[in-house]
Amino acid sequence: MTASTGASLPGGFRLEGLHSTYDASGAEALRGISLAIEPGEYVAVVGPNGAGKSTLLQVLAGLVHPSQGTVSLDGIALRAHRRRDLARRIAWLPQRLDPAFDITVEGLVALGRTAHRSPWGGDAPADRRAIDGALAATDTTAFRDRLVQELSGGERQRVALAMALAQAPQVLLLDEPTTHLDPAHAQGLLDVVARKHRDEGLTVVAVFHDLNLAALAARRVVVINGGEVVADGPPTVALAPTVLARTFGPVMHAVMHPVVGVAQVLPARAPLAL
Amino acid sequence: MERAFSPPPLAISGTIRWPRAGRFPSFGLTFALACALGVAIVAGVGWGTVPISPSLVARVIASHLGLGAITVDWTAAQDAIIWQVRLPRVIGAVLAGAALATSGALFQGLFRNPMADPFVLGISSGAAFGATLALLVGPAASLAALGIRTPTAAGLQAMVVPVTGAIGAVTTAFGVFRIARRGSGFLLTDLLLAGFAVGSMLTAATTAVLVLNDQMAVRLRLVFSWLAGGIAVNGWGHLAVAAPVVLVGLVVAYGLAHWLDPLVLGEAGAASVGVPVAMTIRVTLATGAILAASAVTLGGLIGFVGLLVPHMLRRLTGLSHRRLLPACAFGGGAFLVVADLLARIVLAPVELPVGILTAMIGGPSFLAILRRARRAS
Repeated sequence: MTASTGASLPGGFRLEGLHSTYDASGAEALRGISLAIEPGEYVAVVGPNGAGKSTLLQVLAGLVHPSQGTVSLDGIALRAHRRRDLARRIAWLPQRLDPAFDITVEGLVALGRTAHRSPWGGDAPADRRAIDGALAATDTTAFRDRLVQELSGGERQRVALAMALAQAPQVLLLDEPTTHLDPAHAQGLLDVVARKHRDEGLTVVAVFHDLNLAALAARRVVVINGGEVVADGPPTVALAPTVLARTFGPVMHAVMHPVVGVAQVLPARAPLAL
Repeated sequence: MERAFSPPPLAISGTIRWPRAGRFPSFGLTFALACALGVAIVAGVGWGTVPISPSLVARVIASHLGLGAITVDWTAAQDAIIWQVRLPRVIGAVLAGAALATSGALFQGLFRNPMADPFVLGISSGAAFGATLALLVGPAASLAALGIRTPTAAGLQAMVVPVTGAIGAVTTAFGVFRIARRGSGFLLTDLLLAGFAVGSMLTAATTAVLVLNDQMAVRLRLVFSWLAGGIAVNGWGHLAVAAPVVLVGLVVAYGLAHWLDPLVLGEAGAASVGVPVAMTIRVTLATGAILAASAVTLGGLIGFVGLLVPHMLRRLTGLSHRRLLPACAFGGGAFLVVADLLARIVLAPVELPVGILTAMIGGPSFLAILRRARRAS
């Protein structure tokens, strides 16, 4: 789809002893995370609320600088990259995209080309191709002239993904991409991501609220709790009953998916059934 | 603790409804506005106690610009009225209008808010205060810089007013930005109240300087009519500092267009698509403030031009600053020339300061835009 990505497939991260503090309180969101993410890998990050998942993703995006430790992208410290170069390699999708002003779908997707364009020039053919390709890949071409503000939650999230894809990144960082979506829309969105990952070797790091979707989407699941990695491996390992009990409390029941055959979890009991 | 982007607080501004994006061809719009500006200039120069026909105005200007061989069939007096007296004032209005409209568009993009404008944010008051302080340093030369004739005019000291005005404006812009900022966003009310409070303090300080200084008190009426927003240009010399500053400011603003569009995503979103956010904020604040300060030295406190003009033009250009900013430069210039012409006509032979006229049109429009913005958020 895109003209500007190189032939090689970099996009691997090394995190070492990462600490990150919140703004004023000084409380730590991340407390010593070390992790290696290989180029072309699809990693799901899960954990309880406030575990530091979003912060980890923002650190990977270079939007938050760690207070301690190092992050490097393909062997070069993230901080050493210029903002513009980083944006050509990493696309970050926040939980919900809320443009401050009315903007058309095409206008929004075109913002993904910011780092590829010259500040003084106009649209190059490569930009047009990337925008059209991103709209097509996310099946949003039909409403390119509509306002983003008029779209449903599911459509809006697909458009946000289109903007990220228009960046022609090597790494896609998704922060709870399906939280506001119904099951069908969630599946549709993750299909688009999975296709990009499979066909173009895109590195994907996605934070999931839904453990089951995480287990279905990625072969590697990283569980974070209290700013630390508590489990890391294939879904069966990362979502083992002992890990779940330690991380979420005795509220989960692990099962196998009857069709797909990956680890899944169910609530352990009905409400008030003590 | 290093955090480039603190998480924005909830319900920060909601979606502010801009007028719906139009698809007017960019070049066509800019060309149409440039033509409108040309017509406005000719009308602005032609109207006065001695009316001059548009064709004569056009021919005199063309001959001075060396456009084609034009036989001189006008008197030296007519030449002087057009070229030496009226045209500098009209060009002053063009520059002030272009500067104000562009400054407004820059602040609206930066603050992600259609209410942002150098006057509303108190930045024009900061410029006026800075300029007024310069009057204390060297009153005679400074008054000349404001176009108020005194025998000991001109000299290098005339540069002082634009410089102190710019310092006042830039300081105010960064101050209001810091005060209004919450997390990495801006609440509409914070922005308006911060601008109101800062602007009020600076206006009071300006008044105090004028009243308490003996030399100023003598010329209070002149200085007051400048402050009230009267285009006070009476010769080309007065434009020598302002014109290059405004032109450079407009070019820098256009260079920022590319980085301003993605700010619609918020600061973290803009950074993620490649915008050097901290640098963009600083350059935008400084450029917008310096443009506003230039307008203040040319015409005092002319309110709401930076609010009205971008608001009207955005209907035609949509969100793109690459389309909006050139349109604001031409449209703002034409707008202020026409407003200045009206200010001369409505109570003729008495001249109304144009700032009073723009406030009378701008105030109600401000309230209308505020209502829209609140309804949306």
